[in-house]
Amino acid sequence: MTTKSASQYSNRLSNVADSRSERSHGTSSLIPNFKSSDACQWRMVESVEPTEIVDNWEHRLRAAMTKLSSSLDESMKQSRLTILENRVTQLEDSSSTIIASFAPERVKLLKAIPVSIRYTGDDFVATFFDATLSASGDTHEEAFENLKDIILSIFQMFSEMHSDTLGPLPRRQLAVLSDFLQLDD
Amino acid sequence: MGRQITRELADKIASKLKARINTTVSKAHDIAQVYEGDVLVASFGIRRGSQKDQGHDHIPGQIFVNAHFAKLLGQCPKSRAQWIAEMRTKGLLPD
Repeated sequence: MTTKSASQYSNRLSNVADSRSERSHGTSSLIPNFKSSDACQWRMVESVEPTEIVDNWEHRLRAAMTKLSSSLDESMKQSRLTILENRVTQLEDSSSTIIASFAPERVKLLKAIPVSIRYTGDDFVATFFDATLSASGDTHEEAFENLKDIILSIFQMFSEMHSDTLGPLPRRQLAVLSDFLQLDD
Repeated sequence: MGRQITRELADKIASKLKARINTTVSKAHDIAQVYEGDVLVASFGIRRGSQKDQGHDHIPGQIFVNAHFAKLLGQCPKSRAQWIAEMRTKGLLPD
């Protein structure tokens, strides 16, 4: 096993550092800081002196790289699996249902309103897609009840407004809601 | 995925869009109504409650933008004018 002077390598590192910055001094070297969240930034660190350079360093390096590569593969597989598991949980917690009644509110339901409820990771969002109306809730049931509240409120509010004051979206929402609801006199 | 739009952000989005808040029509929500001139362009519900982190992920769909755009509206980089331009592009404003 032959060894090379560690200080030779250290000196070479120092020379590179010196040429890049006059701030380099003593045993410090200028190396890129890849840990920075913004970008690669240069920073001063204490140089690490290798104790010895072994003969079969190329073989060892290759083995280490192979090990690192398979470890990265494994961690990528694990994170993809976690993403898929989360997606499956979201799909399992999503559902379709209908609004069959607004009782005891004074509104007549002409036909059932289709509702899609999806889990977003923390909350549930219930949507009546035809009318572009949605509401959130901490639970499946709360999102459903909140959507009923929004549907009623929007329908009552838009029904009382002059059609000239409704833009394209509210006008369409009112038209769709009128197919499903009728205010009791 | 996690919660994108909190109650706090919902209030900021309403404020950024200069929404008029109707507090009487709904039992569980304050209804934010966004006008352009005298015309109502969009509306969305803000859940009543004191929790600042209450989920409001339904809002992006109500104002016809994605969650990222809605977040930027609340956090500042996106302006009301940019949202109005977005709505105009989508044909959701009167000519």
